[in-house]
Amino acid sequence: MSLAQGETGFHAPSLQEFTPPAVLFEGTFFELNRIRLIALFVTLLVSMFFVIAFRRPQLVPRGVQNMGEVAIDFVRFHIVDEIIGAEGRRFLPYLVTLFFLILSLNVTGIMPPFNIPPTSVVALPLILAACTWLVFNYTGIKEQGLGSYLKHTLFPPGVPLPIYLLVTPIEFVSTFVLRPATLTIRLLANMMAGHLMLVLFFSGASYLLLEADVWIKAFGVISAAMGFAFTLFELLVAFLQAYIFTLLTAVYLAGALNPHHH
Amino acid sequence: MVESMDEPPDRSFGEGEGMVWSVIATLVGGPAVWGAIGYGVDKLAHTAVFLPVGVTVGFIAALYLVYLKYGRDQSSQS
Repeated sequence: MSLAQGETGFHAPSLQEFTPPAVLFEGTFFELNRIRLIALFVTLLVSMFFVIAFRRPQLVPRGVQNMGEVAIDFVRFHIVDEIIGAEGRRFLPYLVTLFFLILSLNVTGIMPPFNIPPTSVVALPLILAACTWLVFNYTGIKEQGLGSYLKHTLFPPGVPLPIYLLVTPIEFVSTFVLRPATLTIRLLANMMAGHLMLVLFFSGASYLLLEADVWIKAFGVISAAMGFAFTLFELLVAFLQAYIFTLLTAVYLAGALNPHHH
Repeated sequence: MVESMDEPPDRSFGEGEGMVWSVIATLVGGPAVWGAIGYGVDKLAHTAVFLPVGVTVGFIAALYLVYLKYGRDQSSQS
């Protein structure tokens, strides 16, 4: 498709997408660009939703409280009860927050005024993964004591003694480095790639339909159709990535609580 | 054979998901850790052989670790 790149006037999306110009407080530590404003706005919105839903809870829920309860029940039944069991209930606030925050931040990628998911910039997935790392390590240490937690994590049972020299460094890296790293990269890469694809399809469609020669315009229609289909796919991905992030956090918490579970 | 077809899965979906990513992390982490150690030894001893040796050893150790943790769950772990 040398046409798309060779012609003057079409600018394919690049990583510049993720560093838009500053909007407020430029030059200071609190510099805000479009993406950070979206992140702040969405965070505020999600917090307000849950605060309003449970501000004056009734025994028989109505209205916003009903929606809030459905939201919490989803995480409770499908993630906490399935993975951790009854003792996981105390992690429900963290897991509900994690799930709905990631879901809302992901979904802004396909919503018209925003059109970019703040989770496609590395800081957010990194901070969320760091929070999960802190929570599961703190839980493991609190439940089992530091020595016991490290022993269960780093020294799998049933290994002849000298082989531990080989295996323990791998276990260390796998648990304390790769878990937060894969959480971060999985969320970041999915959102970044999805956003770049959407921008490519729609900017390609507008360029082909408006500025290309007449016998290429048909490709513009195809590009727009692909953009539409991909938007639906991104909706699925938004939900799935939030679900997987929260699910894996619950799995790590279950491992920290019950090291010999399986 | 007939009765095993109707058994519920040993693990829930979430644990399965956790297992998959844990296996991937182990298979990546093994060569990475021992490759890094081999690279460090190479720098100190001015050789060039320990990096590939480390990567290979790490990969084998990672395979063993995956087998240990997930390949024989019928028996030992409780």
